[in-house]
Amino acid sequence: MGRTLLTATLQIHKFERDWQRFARAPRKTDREAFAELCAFAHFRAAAIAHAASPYMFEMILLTMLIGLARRAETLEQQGILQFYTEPEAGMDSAPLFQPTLLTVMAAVRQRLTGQKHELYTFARALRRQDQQALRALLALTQSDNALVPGSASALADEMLLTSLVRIMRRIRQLEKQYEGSSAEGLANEWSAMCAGI
Amino acid sequence: MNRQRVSGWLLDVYAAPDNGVSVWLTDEQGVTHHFHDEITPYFFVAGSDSQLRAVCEWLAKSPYPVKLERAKRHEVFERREIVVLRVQLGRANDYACVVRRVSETFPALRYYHADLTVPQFYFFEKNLFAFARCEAQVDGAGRILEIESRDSLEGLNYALPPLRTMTLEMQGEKENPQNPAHGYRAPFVVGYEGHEYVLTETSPRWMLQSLRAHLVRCDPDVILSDYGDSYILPYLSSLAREHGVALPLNRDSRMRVRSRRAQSRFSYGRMMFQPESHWLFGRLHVDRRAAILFDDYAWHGAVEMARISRRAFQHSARSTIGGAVSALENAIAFQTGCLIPWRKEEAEDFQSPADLIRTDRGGLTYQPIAGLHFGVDLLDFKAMFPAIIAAYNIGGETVNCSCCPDSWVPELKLRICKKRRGIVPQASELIVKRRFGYKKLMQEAESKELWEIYHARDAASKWCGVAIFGFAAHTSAKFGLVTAHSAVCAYAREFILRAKEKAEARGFRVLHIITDCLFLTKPQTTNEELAQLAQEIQAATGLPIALEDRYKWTAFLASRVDPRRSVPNTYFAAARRGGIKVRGIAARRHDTPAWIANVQRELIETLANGSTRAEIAALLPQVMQIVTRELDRLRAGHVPLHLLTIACSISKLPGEYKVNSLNAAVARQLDAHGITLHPGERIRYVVMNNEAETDRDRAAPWALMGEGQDGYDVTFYEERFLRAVETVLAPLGITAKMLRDGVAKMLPMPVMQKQITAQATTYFGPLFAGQR
Repeated sequence: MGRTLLTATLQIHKFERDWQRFARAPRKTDREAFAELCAFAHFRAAAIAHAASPYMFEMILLTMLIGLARRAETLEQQGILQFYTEPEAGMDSAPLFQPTLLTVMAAVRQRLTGQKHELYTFARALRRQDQQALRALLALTQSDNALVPGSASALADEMLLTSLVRIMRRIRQLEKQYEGSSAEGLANEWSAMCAGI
Repeated sequence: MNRQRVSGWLLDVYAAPDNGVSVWLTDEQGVTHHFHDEITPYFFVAGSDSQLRAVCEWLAKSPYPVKLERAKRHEVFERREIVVLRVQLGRANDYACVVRRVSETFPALRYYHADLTVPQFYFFEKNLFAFARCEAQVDGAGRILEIESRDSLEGLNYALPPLRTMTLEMQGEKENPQNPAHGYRAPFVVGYEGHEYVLTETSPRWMLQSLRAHLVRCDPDVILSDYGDSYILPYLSSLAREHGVALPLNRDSRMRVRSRRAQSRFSYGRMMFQPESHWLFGRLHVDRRAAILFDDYAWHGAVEMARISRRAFQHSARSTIGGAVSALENAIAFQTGCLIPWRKEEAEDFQSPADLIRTDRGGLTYQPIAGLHFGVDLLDFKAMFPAIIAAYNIGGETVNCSCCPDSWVPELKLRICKKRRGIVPQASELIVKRRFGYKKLMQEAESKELWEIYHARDAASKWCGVAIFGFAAHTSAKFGLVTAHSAVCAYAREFILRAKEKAEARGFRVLHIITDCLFLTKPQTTNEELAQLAQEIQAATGLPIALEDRYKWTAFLASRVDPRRSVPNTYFAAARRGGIKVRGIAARRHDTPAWIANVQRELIETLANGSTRAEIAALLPQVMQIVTRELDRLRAGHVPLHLLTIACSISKLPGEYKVNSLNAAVARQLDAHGITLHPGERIRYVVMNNEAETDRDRAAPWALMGEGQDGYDVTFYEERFLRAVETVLAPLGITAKMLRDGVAKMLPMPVMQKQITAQATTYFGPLFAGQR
């Protein structure tokens, strides 16, 4: 029956409309990075809905952070970068974006200080792997962590989002750079079949 | 006085033309009996003493014989007994008229029991229902002295009377009937006792007399028609009047065929259309094309629905599922001595913005992880929402009661009454019991026929279960409230999360969640482990959950617009026990041409032969063979036209379309032929040339297609076909470009056909090929 408020999915669509200057960025890589971040939010719309928080922007950012952390984990598992562990000298890119990501996380966390219950319900509705990523992000942004600047909460929305887009762009670059031949699916079989026709 | 006892099934009940009700019983030999019984309907009025006195004075001066008395009845939302004026009618037929006139004169008062029908009163008072086995004692004049039910509404394995059924339809392909209301013309076909008789209309009078003879000879209890409501019955009635032939459509010769106008309404975000209906008296008429969900649960489901909702069969068959649920709730309120409000006046409670954000949520749906997954198991809560309503006593009148301060709904600032059982929960309990009962009977069924009967009855109960939850927040749900709806959703969210947590704790990966079911995967999992998981979840939630199916593989689809996003409830899967399951793709959509839907299913069935990635890879040449075979058929013009028809509902009147869509083009053509279309009505058409400028050249209405008209837009159908194929191949990592390149290589389009389908202004024929 009729709803009074927008659903979480529609709220994310609204977020995309509100920030469409990112979607219309001059560089294709930026546009794609933003679209991918929005896809992270869509994928975790159930958790956003379950949180029932009035801080919709922060909740969306949180899903984006979790998505980024998951992707960074994957890269770490492939030995491409070190995200959770201390970066070694000469290791590609990790120092570039880990502090930035944690700064954004700290800012989001500080904004959600009064939303402990909502944060708990949000986390409860995440899939297990996402819960683990969120737990790691929370652990890394404890107040005594040296990586977090004191003025994190004062960062503007646009600055937070810009930072995330940059991190996404970098992750995509790394993924592309180290992309192997193990493309998913049956594309190779299909190509072989068509070649044999 | 010559008294007799008659035992049989209740076939039909309606207000008699003089007074009281006409009751039709069918006995075990199939003989139908017509009796008369008395019933005096009543309604209640609530207001201040002076207001009620004014109503009494007005009624005393009115021409209607009424009996007035002061009464006390339970008002469900006030949770107490209130003083009301009971207005009992002297004549059953005055009921609706008196209610209308009193309510128009005194609009500020509250009315109860004011929109029941006379048969409903009769059923409630005598504890009867449609097709109830009963025993009547009648006098020599056919008046019922006593009637008693020998049947129980809780009964599942009930017998039905031996009914004589006649079919009435128009000649044509049975699986492909065309709507006569949209201009299709063919002789009528009457069928009974295993024979079919074609009534040619060379002479209308002769045709009518022939039909009359069939009606007299068969004397059917039930007339099952195709388009009987929208065309056949009104046409025959008018033709019979014109030619002075008395057509005995009704068994009761005192009555005229009753009709109700067609109506369009906006419901659940789309325009719906209910064609005009024609009710018979003494025999039942069901239009298979117009009866609600008849294509889903057929005759036995329709009977079950009438029994559950305790309404006359013909009324039930033409009503919505929400109407059936409402009628069931009315029956429970009547039995429990509660007042049945005429119009809901309960407003939603005030909520703070923070409370509203928490409350205004539905069930949880997790986006699927797009792609092909092997070894997927589906766990499904059985009748989750009605079970929650019944188990936690959630109804409009039980939410936020003052007597139970500690019974909180999870996450919400809502309380549920534990002391008084609500009306909606009682209705839910009945539905849940029936569902589980039929599931058990289906497992124990000794024959396929019996299984099908239980399946149809279960489907009717299932739809009631679906509607009882959704309907709770509807404006016309008399015993529902938005807050009650929100409370049910809160419980549903809590239970699905508990289920997710239990599954993840056992090492399952959650692929997708749709409100009450979970798609899980875990390598090497066994039936025993899944049964243990189901038991754990059941213990944690208190709701029955079962392993719905195990799939060899499941393909969750990504969005066409943005492949980074997955689409909920859009997937196809190959079951381990054989067969496929598809949801949300072209094969399930009503507007997909049958040819495309069939091919899409065939492709999935072909892939379903593979269980591993390697096996599926080995099936790709077979898939490509089907694709090229069908594409070749399409390009050669060998696909039958009826398999290419597109059926769509129009959302507005033909003249109101601003965008020149295919629907608009077809609606305008039908309108030009003098066919009255209503918003929500379904039209069928074949696309002739989507790029053409005139409506006539673009698409042809199926009902108006003549002998000489053939051909279709190859490009249009090819595009839709390839999209359907893409849907199947995309989860395998085969992109649209790869598919189209493969098709172009394997099945190049002939030069001539390429020119025909090219976006050119003129085609000069094969002689001038290449010279444009």
